[in-house]
Amino acid sequence: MFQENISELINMRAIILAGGRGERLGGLTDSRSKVMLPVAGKPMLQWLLHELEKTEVKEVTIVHYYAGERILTHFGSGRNYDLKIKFVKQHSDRGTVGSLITGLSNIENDDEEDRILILNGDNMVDSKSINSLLNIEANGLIISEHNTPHLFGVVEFKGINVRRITEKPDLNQIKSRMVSTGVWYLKKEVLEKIKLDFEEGQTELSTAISKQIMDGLKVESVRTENWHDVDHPWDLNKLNRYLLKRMERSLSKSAEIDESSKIEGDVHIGHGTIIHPGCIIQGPVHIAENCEIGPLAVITGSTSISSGCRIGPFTRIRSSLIMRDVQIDSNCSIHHSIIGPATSLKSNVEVDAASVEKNVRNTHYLIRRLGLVTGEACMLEQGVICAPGTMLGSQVVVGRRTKLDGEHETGSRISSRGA
Amino acid sequence: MCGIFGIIGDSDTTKLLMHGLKRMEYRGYDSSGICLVNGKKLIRKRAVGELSNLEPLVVDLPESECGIAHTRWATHGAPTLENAHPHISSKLDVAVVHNGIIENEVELRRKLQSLDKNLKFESETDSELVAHLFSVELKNSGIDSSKASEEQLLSYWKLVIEQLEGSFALAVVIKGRNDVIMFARKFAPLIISHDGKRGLLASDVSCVVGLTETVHYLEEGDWGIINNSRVQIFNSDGELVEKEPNKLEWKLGDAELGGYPTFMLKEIYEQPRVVRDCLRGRLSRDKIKGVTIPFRPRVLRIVGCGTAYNAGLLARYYIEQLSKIPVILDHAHEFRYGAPSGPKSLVIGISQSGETADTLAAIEAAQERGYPTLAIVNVESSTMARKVDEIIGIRAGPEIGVASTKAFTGQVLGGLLVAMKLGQDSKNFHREDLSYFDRHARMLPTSMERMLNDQNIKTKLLEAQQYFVGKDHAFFLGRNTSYPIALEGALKLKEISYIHAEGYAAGELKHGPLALVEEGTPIVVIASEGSSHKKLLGNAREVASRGAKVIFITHQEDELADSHADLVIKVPRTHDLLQPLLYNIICQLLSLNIAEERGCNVDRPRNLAKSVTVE
Repeated sequence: MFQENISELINMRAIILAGGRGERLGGLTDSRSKVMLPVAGKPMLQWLLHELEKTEVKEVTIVHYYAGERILTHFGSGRNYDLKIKFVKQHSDRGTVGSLITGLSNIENDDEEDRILILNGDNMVDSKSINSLLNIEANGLIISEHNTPHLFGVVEFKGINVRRITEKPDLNQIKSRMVSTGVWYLKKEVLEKIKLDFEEGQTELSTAISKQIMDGLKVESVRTENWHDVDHPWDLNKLNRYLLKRMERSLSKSAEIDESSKIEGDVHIGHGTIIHPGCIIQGPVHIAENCEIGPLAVITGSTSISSGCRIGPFTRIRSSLIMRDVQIDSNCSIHHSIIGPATSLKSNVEVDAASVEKNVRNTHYLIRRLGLVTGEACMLEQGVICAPGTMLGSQVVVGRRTKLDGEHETGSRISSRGA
Repeated sequence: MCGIFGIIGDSDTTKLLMHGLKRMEYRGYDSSGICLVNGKKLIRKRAVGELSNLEPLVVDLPESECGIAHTRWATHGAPTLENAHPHISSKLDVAVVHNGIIENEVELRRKLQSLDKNLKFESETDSELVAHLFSVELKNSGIDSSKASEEQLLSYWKLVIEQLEGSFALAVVIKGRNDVIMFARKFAPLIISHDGKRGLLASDVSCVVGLTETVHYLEEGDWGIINNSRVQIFNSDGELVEKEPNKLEWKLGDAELGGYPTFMLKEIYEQPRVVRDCLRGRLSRDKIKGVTIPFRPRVLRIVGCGTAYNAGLLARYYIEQLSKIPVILDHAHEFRYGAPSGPKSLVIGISQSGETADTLAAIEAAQERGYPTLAIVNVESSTMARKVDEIIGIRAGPEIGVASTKAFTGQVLGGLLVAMKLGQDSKNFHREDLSYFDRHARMLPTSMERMLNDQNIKTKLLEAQQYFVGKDHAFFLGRNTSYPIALEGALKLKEISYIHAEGYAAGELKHGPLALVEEGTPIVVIASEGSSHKKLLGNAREVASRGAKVIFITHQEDELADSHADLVIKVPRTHDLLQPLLYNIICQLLSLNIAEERGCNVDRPRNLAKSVTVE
């Protein structure tokens, strides 16, 4: 009858926890949650679903809470995927376990032997690793090596099994460079115990399972080389670069590309987009639908431009993530930046990018290259110059020729010298 | 106004019919029914009220390859079981489903009675007569209907249709014939689809989406027969129609809730997308494209009903401000009583479905008077869209919630595009104005998205809701471009929460309606710009001094409102022309919350139906 997926034997089921906001992304999550932020042309959650389509998973329950409607409106009834997708709203914000329990209550989990795959909507992990996880004997966790493991849940081993997970340990207490990706494959009994502990106040999933492991639970580890976690704006750029590397060249037939413009390498240009004369676009670059670029604009290396954007003449954009409905006027220079939706940059705005140190919630980060980060609907007037690592909230208005640096909260109005 | 649905050539007939009825329920939910052709019998099941009442009755029905179904919005005859469709002839040999009104029912009833004094009518409906008429034709022919050829059946069917006056979309099945369904269309919409094995006919695309990719939209006066290998469509002159079917605009997901609790909420949240889609390819920094207005009118006439009328009122303000052309706005059903407006008049019809009978009639009257016509519609394959000279499709996607939300936003934008186009042509609206507008219009979807997710606004809405608890009356006030929003806000509240709300131009209040204001009366005041804003603040004070609880909806940069109302709700600041759309969203959300608190069914309010195809 209608297109329906009917799984005959074992129903491989997954729950995606997508209820959190992603506060550390500031103004970028004002009107949508982290999982809906675009990277390489699609919301993060959509990339994750595409990976799941390539695995043995048949049914996915997506648990949402913050700005859930944005997720529902984007995915519609979920029919476009080779998966049966259900959307469930969390009742209230009660941690990752609260999210999980909402998801579980929507799944019929009758068989004792059935296991459920649990993922975080803001974490990218590849289908190969997921399939490896699905093929293990009992309970499993995907782990990954990381340069700064102390920022995550560090994993200690006993053979291939997980012996302990320590969340954000002290630098001198780090026992390994392997961290938990938060992708679990768990049996019913483990989930039941998590539910019980929840009643006692244990709302954090990693900690809850860690406790069971200490009490003897066997969890096998599966290693991945392709894990991306997004917490901060600069993580978005990193993920954007990674995903763009895997993109192929495709120029929409309904795009109008002037023949004097050079489109080199792996470039995607969406339908209805106009590339004016004399532009240089050097891949990997993803330009979505209904954009207008140039004339004589230069877009290079690992840049994504979302739909409805206008990039003016002589503007150069490199290694950046430009979200939708952004208007950048002429002769701007934008590098290693993230420009939030509906932001307007008037002419001659210059962004410097360099290595930057940031302190977020008592944690120190060193970012290799960062330019400007804006929230939603910001307005930068002519000639604004941004120092590396400048971060703006939403609806920030910056006056002409201002030298901008530091961080400015939502609604700020800045002129002449930035703070 | 009803929805009809017919299927032939599929063994899963009952299941498919019920599925289709579910999709069409927004066309009417007073009663429903199905009729299957099974061997030598017609099996009919009907139930009063919502479709869920019919479900238990159809559980064990035998298999059938041919059936028709109906969901009713009662117009002629109360919503009772006897009046529910399908209707069946007294010999139980013909069953019919009908959408529309047979206007000569009195003479037809008399005629039938004179042919057979013992004839008993089961119902008070006009629809039932069609079953009797066809049954009589078959009897008079002397031919065994179970053996008659299709040509013969068609000739008798033609005799029936010719006797009917008024509007109809009809589907008829015959006892002993699981191989044919007869159909006809006049004024009420009907679409047909056939893939060589299975044939479908329905009042509405929502019924068949997911079952087929292409459909024929029947024209006025089309009629014919559908069997399990093909469909034959004849026009009003009796000629066979050979036409390529159209590709369906809708996808299955469009007609589904997709995780939302109600269609209304879903459609409210689709408004940012509607803004983007509606303005795409039409709005640019230097000119308005894709909007064709055949000449510069001397006077403009706008017709619409309900929410479309309110959109028309806002369009009137825009057009008059930006192009200086005078606009006469009429409720579509009143248009015909007015005087002609002379040469160089352009008539604009606004309708979400493009099937609204009143608005269609007004467009026809306009065309009879020789006026060029333009339609601002959502369904671009509709009757109105095909009737007028130019259309502006608002691209809002299917609107299933009976109370219109996203269509209003699209219609207002359509009106705005007309205003700016006329303004540019007349040099009243300059390039800088357009460029400035363009910048703000691109930010509008994000402003809406910010608003829809704003925790502050959500908290304020909850507070505002409290003012309506236990209240039976409420007022909405506005001035200038917020006056139409006041009307629309009141309409929404009325429609879905059943509170008696009225919208007024704020200046009118002291000329009478103020007498209705008492202690605790909730009054929503919607901000305007410039001098009208200050006056509104004064109006807020006025009603507060009579005991009203005032909710003031304004923008973030308004610093005066706080001291003039009990509760102030602030939305993002945008271009003056677009600001009313943001205020409107607050009104939508407010009504939705209040209605749900009261336990009302916001997608299917009592006594109402979507796309009113009767006058």
